[in-house]
Amino acid sequence: MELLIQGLESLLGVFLPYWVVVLLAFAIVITIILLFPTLLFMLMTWLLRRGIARIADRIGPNRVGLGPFNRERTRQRWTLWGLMQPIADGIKMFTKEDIVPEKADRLLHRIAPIAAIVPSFLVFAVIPFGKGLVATDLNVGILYVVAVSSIFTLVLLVAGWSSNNKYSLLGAMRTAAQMISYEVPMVLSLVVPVLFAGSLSLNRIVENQGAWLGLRWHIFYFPLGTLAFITYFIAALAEINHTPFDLVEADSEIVAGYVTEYSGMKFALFFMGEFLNAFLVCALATILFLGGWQGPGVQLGGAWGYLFSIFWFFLKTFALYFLLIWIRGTWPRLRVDQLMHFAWKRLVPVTLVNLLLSGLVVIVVRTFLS
Amino acid sequence: MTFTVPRHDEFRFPGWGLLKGLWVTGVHFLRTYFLRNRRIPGKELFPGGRYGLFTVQYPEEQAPIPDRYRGLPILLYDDATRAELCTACMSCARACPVGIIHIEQGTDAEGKKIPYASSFVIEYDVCLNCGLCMDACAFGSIVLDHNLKTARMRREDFRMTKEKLLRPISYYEKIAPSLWAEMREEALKRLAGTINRRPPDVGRVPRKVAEE
Repeated sequence: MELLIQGLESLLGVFLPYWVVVLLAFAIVITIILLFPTLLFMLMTWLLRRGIARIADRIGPNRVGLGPFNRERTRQRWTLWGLMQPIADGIKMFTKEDIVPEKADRLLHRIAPIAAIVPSFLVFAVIPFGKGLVATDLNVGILYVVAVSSIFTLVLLVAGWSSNNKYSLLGAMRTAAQMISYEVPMVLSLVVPVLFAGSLSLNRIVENQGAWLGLRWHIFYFPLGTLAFITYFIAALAEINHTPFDLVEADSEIVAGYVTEYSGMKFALFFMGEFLNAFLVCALATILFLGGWQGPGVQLGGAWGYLFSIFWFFLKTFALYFLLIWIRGTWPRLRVDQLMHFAWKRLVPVTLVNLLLSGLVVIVVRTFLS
Repeated sequence: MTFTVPRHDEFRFPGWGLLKGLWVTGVHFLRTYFLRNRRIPGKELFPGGRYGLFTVQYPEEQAPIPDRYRGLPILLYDDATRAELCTACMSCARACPVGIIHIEQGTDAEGKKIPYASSFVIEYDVCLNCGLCMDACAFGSIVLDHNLKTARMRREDFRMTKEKLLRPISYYEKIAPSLWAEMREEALKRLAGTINRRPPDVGRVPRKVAEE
């Protein structure tokens, strides 16, 4: 950020006053932060569809690409593995009819899909994508992430209630209960790496894992860090309504849950919110447990270090996202009672004990070994 | 006699079944990159067994169509003599459950009926592909084609006259060899009789059409 302001000032400082330069720098950063998740969402839908297809012994979308059609006009010449499919989907979503139920609360029904993507976009502001590549390095980063992303629960309730549909409302209640329940073990396991690093700032947590050529990750703090990673990942799966816990999508029971009455781009916005949450969960797991942007090569000076840091971050994050796709293509979903049972009777005690032990170990290490 | 249902209540490591499931789908995922499992004409049905890509990308590739595939009905004529097999016996028209086969029997100059159809129309848009016309035909004349692209732009295009319906026997022998082998002897014997009962050059496909 400061670098950008300085660069812009050296370029434009002659013509423009300082505050305009600062505003310009902010505008550039905000544009990137707004554009990046959108492109990411498109890439993730494509990845998901291709991955699930391969698991089911299919090819997946491979038609929509760039360039002219072949002679038979059946297929484009440069199909690029169907990479342009999300654009086709987007055009389709934009041109679909937008239906609002007659008895719906129109204002809330309209606000909900917009509010669904806001928390995800907000969280993107504090994610360190690489060495120094963070929009704002908050010193209470994790607290901010947890607080902002729990807005999504409220949005679900708003969407479900305003639709005036029993399936929407049931789905929303169910999802809200699930997300509130799983927030407890998630936060309890989030605190473990915070204890290890001694800071709430995401950047500091990443820097804490920089030893041993950038491989001293919190997941290797056996068994506390490993257990915290596993419990975090399970709770996060439930938090983003992902597969073993995707009760919202139990169409045989509640049609489509809180999105039942949404169509067109509003539906797509909810989808976008969920996909971005999935990415953020993977990114947070990477930052907290898998060393973030740390890795061999980051210690190099100059541009190479920065490039390596970005490379490692996205490699780890997308590896985790692939795990999500893999899980989605494999596991069946839980029943509601199993879900609650698992959260309160299994995950919460395990994470609590883990947290206590971690605190103990950190105190012992800090007092006697340093 | 009693059956013992396995309860599976022996201890297993928690999550073991989940990991096993991941292994199964993982193997499926990876093997799609090395193995194609298409049905290729003349080869074993599914060479990859349970694994590999099953997708057949239709316009570019096509899975073989079985001999008994029920497409839309067509009429046959003999390659050498260009004689139509149809004798206008009306069996198919009567057998058709939706009544879309319309036949007019031809007559000679004196008004005497001769065994050939002067007009033979099938409305393709209503056809059920049931194959009852083919079963009813004693002359092996009306058979089911293996066409997949049946879409037309206008309704009138679905009204198939005799000229559009006629195909040579060699075509049918190529698409459904086993079915033709079953009916071949009977059909050719009856065709010879039919030709004898017709005046010369009646009920023949024009040479120009046949050569196309």
